[in-house]
Amino acid sequence: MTETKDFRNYAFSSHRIEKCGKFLGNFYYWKLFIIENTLRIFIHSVLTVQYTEKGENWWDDLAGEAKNSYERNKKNYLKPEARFFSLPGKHPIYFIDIKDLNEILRANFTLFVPVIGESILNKLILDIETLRIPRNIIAHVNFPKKKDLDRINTFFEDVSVYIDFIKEKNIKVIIP
Amino acid sequence: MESFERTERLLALILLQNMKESRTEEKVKSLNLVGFTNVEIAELLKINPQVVANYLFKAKKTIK
Repeated sequence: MTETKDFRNYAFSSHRIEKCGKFLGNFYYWKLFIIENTLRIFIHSVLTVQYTEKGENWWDDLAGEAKNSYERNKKNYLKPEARFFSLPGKHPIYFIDIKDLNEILRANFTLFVPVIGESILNKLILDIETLRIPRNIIAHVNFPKKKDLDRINTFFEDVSVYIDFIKEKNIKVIIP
Repeated sequence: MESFERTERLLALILLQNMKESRTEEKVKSLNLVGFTNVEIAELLKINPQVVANYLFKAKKTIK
């Protein structure tokens, strides 16, 4: 992959902006898409089987900041002027971002430990925390540094393992 | 991977030993009562976690 330089460090050139956009789109954005959606599926699948009474509606029993973020984001999506556009998805988990996914993992720590073990769960929480800023830089259409891009690559290489863990425990993989 | 502590596993085994004659559903309920999660119970009884969830759902519905 040839190195692409941040267009903001040079005189204006629409070609440079295009090159930066294509670089991030082609090599990184799709990885973040896979990471975040895989984490949603992982969380939903585990909590569906661990929250006996609510099953797929585990969200109803959730406490903490993730639920507040959902309420806040939902309000924005339901504003009259927002009705011309798509909703993120049916399940509340699609209304929240990676920071809130981490909150869910923290708040339900004891329910995830039997699935992936305490040390890996701690690693996942830490990895999500370190991914948060590189993810936001790309999601807010800025241009990240190489070390941020490296973090995305490392997380991307690891993320499918979490689905392997739930399959090993005979937990059904459920898309929320 | 060790999913839960050795002492917890030992307590579970003692409990299960005392319930040898009981039905799986009863074992599931007892393990749940002492605080094991559904995935842990499934692992101890070598059954599917969803089966555990279904048993407990049924049990809680009956209590209500």
